[in-house]
Order: sequence, then C-alpha cells, then structure tokens
Amino acid sequence: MMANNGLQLGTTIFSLNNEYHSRRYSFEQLVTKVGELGLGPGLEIVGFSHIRGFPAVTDEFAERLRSLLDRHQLQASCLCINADAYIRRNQRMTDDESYTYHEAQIRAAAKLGFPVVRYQFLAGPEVIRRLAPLAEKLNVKLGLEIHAPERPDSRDVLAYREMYSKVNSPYLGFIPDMGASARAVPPSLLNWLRSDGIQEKFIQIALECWSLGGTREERAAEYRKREQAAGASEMDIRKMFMMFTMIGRMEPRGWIEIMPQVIHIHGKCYDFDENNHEVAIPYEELLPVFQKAGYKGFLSTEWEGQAFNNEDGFAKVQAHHALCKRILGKA
Amino acid sequence: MLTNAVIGDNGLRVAPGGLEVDIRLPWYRALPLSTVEIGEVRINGAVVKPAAMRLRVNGKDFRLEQLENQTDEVWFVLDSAYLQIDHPKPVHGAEYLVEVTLFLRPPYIPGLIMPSQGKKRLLAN
Repeated sequence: MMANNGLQLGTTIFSLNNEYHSRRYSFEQLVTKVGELGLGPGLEIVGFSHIRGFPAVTDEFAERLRSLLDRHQLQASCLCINADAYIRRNQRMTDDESYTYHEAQIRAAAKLGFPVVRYQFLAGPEVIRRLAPLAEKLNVKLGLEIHAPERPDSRDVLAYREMYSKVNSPYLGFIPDMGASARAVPPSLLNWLRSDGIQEKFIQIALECWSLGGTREERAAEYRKREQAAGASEMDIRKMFMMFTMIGRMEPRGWIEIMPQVIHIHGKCYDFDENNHEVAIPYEELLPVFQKAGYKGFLSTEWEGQAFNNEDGFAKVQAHHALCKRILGKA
Repeated sequence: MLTNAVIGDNGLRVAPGGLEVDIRLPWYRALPLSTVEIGEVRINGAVVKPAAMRLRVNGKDFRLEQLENQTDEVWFVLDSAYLQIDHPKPVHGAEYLVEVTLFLRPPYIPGLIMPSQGKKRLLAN
C-alpha cells in the first residue's frame, strides 16, 4: 500500500487489449500477471470487454474476481461502463432506457466491489442526476471521464459541473484522462498513420497545425484548410484528424479547478523514450499537480498505444509505473 | 491494434453448400449485432452478393439485412462469428484469397462508422 500521499497506482486491463483479443491471455491470466509484475494495487476493468454477459454478473464470476484480487493483493479501483445510446442505429435511447441501462451496470460494480464507475458523456446530466441516489445507496461513485478533446472548461463538462453543484453529492465526480494534457502527438499514432500510407508532407502539416496557437476549433479549421490546399485526400484528412480529437493540449494546471471532484485518473500513455519519459504526455508536470492538490485515489495506467501497434502491453505498463514512481518519489 | 483482426487464423472451412469464414469482432469490447455491418466480401477477388451470406453468432444464423435489428444479440469480444458463404464446389485443402470488410457503429460514439478490413490467403479445412 502506498498511502503516504494518497495517489496510488494501478492498471486498467484495457492496456492489454492485444494480449486479450488475440486469446494469448485470458482475463484471469492478465489479472494474475498484473499482480505478479507489481502493477497494482489498483485494478480497473471494462465491463463489456472482460465480463461475458455484462451487465449481468454471475455469483460465480464475482467470487472468482474477488479471490483473484485477494490472491494477488490487488484492489478493485474502477469499472468502466458505457452509455450505449445508439444500440438502435437511428433512434437514441430515451432517458428512461438510459437510466435502466446505467442502473444495471452500477449494480454490477457494487456486486463486484468496485468503488467507482467510469461513465460517458452520452449518459447526459439528467440521467446521472437521477442515478445519484442509487449510487449513494450502493456506495459506488459515478465518474465522468474527461477525455480529449474535452477539458474541465468545455461546454459539455460545464453542463455536468452545473448539475453536480446543484446535487452536491460526493458520489458524483470526474475521471481526468491524461491524454487531454499532451505536449506532443505520440510517435505510435504518427507511425500508424505512416504505415497506413499517408504521405509525410501531410503528416507534417497536421503536426504544425496541432502546435498552433488559438482554440482547438481554430487549429482544426486551419488544419483542414492547409491539408486541402496541399492536396491531401478527404480520407487522409479524416484519419489524421484523430490527432485533434484524441490528443489534447491543456496545461496540466487546467485540472485544478475540478480537483475536489476527481475520483479516479486515467494514466494515458503511448511511447517512452530512452530515459523512460513519456514522449507525448508530461507526467513530470501532471503528477505533482494532483499530488500537491491532495488527490486521494487511483491512477490507472492506460496504455493506448495498443490501438496502434502490437508491442508488449505489460512492458509499457511497467515503463509507465516506473516513470510515475520516480516522479512520486517512490522508486 | 485490432483493426486488422477481422479474419481468424486458420479461419476457413468447407461447409455444406459453400465456405465458412471465422471472423473476429475488431473492437475491444462486446457490441450488439445491431451495430455491426458486413461490408464487401470477396473470395478469390470475386465480390460475394449479400444475399449469398449469413452470419452465425452465438449459434444463431442471421441474414445480413437482419443484423441491424438485432439489438439484444451481443457479439462477445472473444468469440468468433462465422460468415457462411454460398460457393459452388468448395474444395477441401484448396487455397482461397478471402477478403472481408466490416463496419462497426460503436453505440456510445454517435456518427462513427469504423471500417475494418481483413485479407488472408487461407486453406479450406
């Protein structure tokens, strides 16, 4: 246990998507190896990835997870739930349907002993407001993930913050994703675009625009204009646009304004240099912001590079843990 | 990197009246079948008509145009689905070039239609 400063590390099994999807590791084997490699103590899972039949959870699965966690001295940190508003392709769920859909997932979290669920924007402030009493009754906190391109001061987040201030429940909070505070576009994303056949000159234009001043919308507009002028195809422009949606540029201090409501953190990471720094995300600046503000809770390492290559996910999570421990003075 | 993980390894077998391709859900989580669309499929370069295919998921067969309405049928992320393709005189042990395009509409990302393509030379088992 690392209780001295309140920020505890952990891992989301989402980091190990390739190992899991390829059937090289079962869910149980992934959790076991996370434990054996000391990549806890927090353990985060994704309901619809890791639990067959989710949001239904059998007693047998619940017992199996509990004994796995005990055996490897891991703690259930966060269960990722989804706001699947468009299961019907052309007809959005009603608020009542969404309430029921979320309720089942929050009950699953309670049954499995997860103190926090990660929920998504599409839930909507009204549905979450209605779910607050249930969260309180079940002792499960509801955390809105703030993922690039969103940030604490973006319009959609402000709508939740307004509702939160009215409800004033400790069971409503936020889950910052560190990918919203990048200093560069991750090399793994760029290499993936290159391997897809996009010409270097178009990638360089995108990178220049990503680094421009102004708002994200202004940068994105300028990006589109410059790429079109240079002759990039519409398809390439759309693919590279990922840089503007997945990789945010907010100052690390931007998280301070919601700090009392932060209940979990996604430690997004992609690539590590020879000195084991995250190339794109400034953990040296980010972690002290949370640490100094007295954040108490988990930071789950979330290796997103698995979306762009098939490198060893365990090694990346280990690298991220080593980096965080060094910064937090725990190495 | 799941976008290329459409066709399973050793994923082709001869079935009554045709071929059967083992396909994987190229996404990190289970999805309802209503959000899955089978796009262009080619066998040895020839486009297969949608009416000549069915998708077997959870042991149930669906015509491709039925998928959109399967809001309660979930394709779990670790499971294979089987694309059954009418094909005259399929040959055991022969090599086929199989190409499958899938479109996913993750129900929590409005507007995203994620294409994934698989292309493999496979021996029919």
